[in-house]
Amino acid sequence: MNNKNHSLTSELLRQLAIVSAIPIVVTAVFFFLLLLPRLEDNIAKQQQSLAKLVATQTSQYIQSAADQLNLFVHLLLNTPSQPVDQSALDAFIAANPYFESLYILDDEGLIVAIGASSESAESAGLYLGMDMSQVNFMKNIPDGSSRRWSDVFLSVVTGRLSIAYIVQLDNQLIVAEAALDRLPRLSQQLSDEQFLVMILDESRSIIAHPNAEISRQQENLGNLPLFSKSSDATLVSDNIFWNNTHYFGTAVKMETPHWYVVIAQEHAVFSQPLYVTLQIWFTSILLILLLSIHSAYRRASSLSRRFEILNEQSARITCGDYSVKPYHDEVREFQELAGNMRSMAEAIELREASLQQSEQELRLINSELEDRVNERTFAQATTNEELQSTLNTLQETMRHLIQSEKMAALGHLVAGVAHEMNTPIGNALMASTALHDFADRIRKDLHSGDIRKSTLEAFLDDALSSARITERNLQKASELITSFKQVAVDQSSSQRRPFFLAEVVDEILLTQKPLLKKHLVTVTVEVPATIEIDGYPGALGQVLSNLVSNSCVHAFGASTDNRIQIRAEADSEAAILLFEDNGAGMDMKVMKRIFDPFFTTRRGQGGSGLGLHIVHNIIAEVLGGMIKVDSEKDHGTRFTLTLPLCSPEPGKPAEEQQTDLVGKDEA
Amino acid sequence: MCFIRYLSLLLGVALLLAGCEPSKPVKLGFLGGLSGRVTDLGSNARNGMLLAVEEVNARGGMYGKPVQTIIRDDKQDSAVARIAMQELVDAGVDVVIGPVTSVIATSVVDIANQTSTLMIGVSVTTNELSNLDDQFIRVLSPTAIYADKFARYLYNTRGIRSYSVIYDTLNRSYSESWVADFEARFSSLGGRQIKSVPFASGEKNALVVGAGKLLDSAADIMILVTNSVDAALLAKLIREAQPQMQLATAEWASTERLIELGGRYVEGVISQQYLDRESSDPAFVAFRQSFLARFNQEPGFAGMLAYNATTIALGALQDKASDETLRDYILRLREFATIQGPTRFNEFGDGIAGVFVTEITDSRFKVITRL
Repeated sequence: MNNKNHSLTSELLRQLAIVSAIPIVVTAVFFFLLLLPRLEDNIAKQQQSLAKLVATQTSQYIQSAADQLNLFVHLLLNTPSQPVDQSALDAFIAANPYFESLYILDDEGLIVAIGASSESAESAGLYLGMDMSQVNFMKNIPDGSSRRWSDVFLSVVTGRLSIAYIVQLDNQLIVAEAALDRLPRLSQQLSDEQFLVMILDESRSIIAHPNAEISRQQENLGNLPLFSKSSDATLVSDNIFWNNTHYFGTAVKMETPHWYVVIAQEHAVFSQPLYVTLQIWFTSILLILLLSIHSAYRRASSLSRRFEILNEQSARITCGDYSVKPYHDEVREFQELAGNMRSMAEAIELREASLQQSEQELRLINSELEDRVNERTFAQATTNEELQSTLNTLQETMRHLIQSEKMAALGHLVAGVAHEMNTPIGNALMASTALHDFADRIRKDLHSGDIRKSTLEAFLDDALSSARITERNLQKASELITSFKQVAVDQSSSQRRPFFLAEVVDEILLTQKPLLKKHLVTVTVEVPATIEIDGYPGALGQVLSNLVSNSCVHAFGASTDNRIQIRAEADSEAAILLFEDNGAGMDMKVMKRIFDPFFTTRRGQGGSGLGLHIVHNIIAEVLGGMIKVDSEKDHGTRFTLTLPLCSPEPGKPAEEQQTDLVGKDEA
Repeated sequence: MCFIRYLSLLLGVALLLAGCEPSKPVKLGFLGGLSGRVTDLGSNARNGMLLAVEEVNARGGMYGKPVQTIIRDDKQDSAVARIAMQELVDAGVDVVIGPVTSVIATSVVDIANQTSTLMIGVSVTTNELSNLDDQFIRVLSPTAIYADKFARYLYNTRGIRSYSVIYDTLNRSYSESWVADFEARFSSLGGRQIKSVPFASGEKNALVVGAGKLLDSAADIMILVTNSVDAALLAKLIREAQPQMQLATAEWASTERLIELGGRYVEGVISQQYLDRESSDPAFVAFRQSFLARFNQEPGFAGMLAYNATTIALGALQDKASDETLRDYILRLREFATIQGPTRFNEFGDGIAGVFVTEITDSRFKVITRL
């Protein structure tokens, strides 16, 4: 089972959740993208109207203060009494409702006259002569404006937030400070639970707030988004977060002075009804959602139960139980599915029965087939045994034949020995017979007394000659015997020893002399006397004997110019021995088979067919070398023997044992 | 069961949407004098604190919420300050930046200790709160250090041998200890005090009377241990009578307001500063520009110290282990990278800070040397 599979219930619930999410999302989008901006727009408009109203009022207030001072300055200028009368200043401060102190500065910025309200803590003397040139509102005076309002500042005289109206005269400045206490009061009057009305000075510090304490603290609101957007805009609305509260606010820039009126509403207040609506809406959505989930769950469970029943039935069918119970359902599809399942079970049962029958039949055929195979196998085994026995007989026969071949070779050897011994011994016999005759004759002459010195000397000469002949021939016989003895020992004992290749060749040729003579063969030997082999001279002798007799018997016919050439050369590893005749040669067909056992072209004429097979075996297995034959019909035969200078130990065949055939007629 | 899983998921989402209870934001309290004639120190400090908080909030606040600030005006009045401090504690602030003056610090420290609310004093240097294992730490050294340094400087470098002093008894815990420490060192060096005049700031004619007592005392220098406004007015009163009189102020008065109101009368006034206004240190230059842009006002020492204190407090709240108190964390690390060099604390949370000697030249604080 795949883990990613869902249950039917969860699948249905998931789909339901997706379907119900759509209206929720749509409503939320509607709320946030359409309703909320429109609401904010409305509120912004309300706030803007209020802000404009406050701005107008404030401007009017400021303007009437300026008018008052202008009037006073006008009077002052038209009064002939100079210098300025201190009491006139005090009177003006006492009489007007706006200004709390009034002072006149000389061209160096020193206070030359001051009028202050009686509330002011310090005596006027404290401030007379004060240097006002470094006071912030005195610096950066715009050129060309002879009457203007200063920025808001904290009055050193009154200790209150004030603004000053500054009138530029020829060489004097008249500065009248007005406390801003009225503005917080205005702000307080206009603010209610809904609206917060604030007035900010040019540097956006609060100068009026319903809370008088905040009004005094000059908190700077320049960082609010209301002001960061564009300093030129005269009317901006935005969300603001200030004093740990979220507001929606509108700022209006005033003409004179360059202050700002800010109207703000707490988010919590203006969006309260909206949030209540949203909550009601959300709660009902939630209830509907829960209700539909509940009903969907019940529905899904009921569906799931039916599927479980049907599932169980199909599982039972899988297990081979076809007794499907009748099933009733008011839903047509389920009823049909159950019916189909029953039909399926019946069909399967039927098919299963027919299958069983075919299976039995098949089983019968199978067992018959098996019997037949057994019979055949038995017959095959018998044949195999027979074959094996034949092979054994054949191998036995081969061994016998090899043995016979060996005996035949030995016979040849004995014949050779006899033949060779015949001449010297015959000569010796003849010489000794002659000596015997000479001796008899001289004895007769001696007995007869008819012996002469010349006769005696002739006898002695003859006797010596006979003795010499005898001696020479016996000597030769002795040599021959020594030689034969070595060959015989080698052949019979398979003794390993170091030997010179040339010696073995000579010895073998000696033993083969009768055969060679018979076939009028001239043998040329070119074997360096230095080639020494550590190996089996007997085995090599047998090889050479076989090759010689092979040439004599098969290669040389009636022709008289029969030649055998034996050559050898050696490197540090091996000796190459070439054995060539100029005989009949052979064709490729014959050449391919000459090393096969029992292959002979003279079947029935005394050939055993084992000669070259033995040669091959000796070279490959005993001497650890290779033999290669090279022949062409009517152009002689050449055997190339490669013999390692050190033959392998018995039982350790040489690494390479192979036969090469080179047929010129093949090319 | 799939059904239960779905149901709980839906209920969870519903609760989340309906209840939307935010995790607790970090609350930073501020206590300082923000109204009345002498508000330059307090409002400058408040602005420094606001700038640091706004920078943190611009980076996403702390724990995903903007840091909240609760600002209270102590009106330079001990009784008002105690109420304000209690309000901050009741609002559940994590730390209080402030107060700004020594007298307020001494009058509210017991509330901080009782409620284990850490206060980081901005420019509070009174000796009364030195070396105490309490809930009050500060970024500056105690007055004794500064008064001592100033006495040595005036005696050794300026060759001053006698002085008269006028001091404000309204901030007694600062001014009296400053005068005492100064006198102790100055007399030990061989100098002489001619007159010591106390006055109560804000009282009718106090300045004129005080200045009158001081005049004609034939001292080499007159030292004003007052706020900046009073110092400016006193300078005017003294220099009108004795234009050549050498004047000096304690650190308290050395704000921008001193020059603004003093004008020509404060030229040549020697004072000690907690900051170098002309520093070319890139961090300070950037800070000064931000401050000017935000508040249209120069950051004085109060602004910079409050900024540093707020940076330390917020950084510590962020980095400290959950089982460690803010105070323990700060006193474990003891050194924090701040504007114009690191801020260091001793084991009791008193700052270890240097001071600059300045002389007002062409209406600017010109740094003479660093002590």
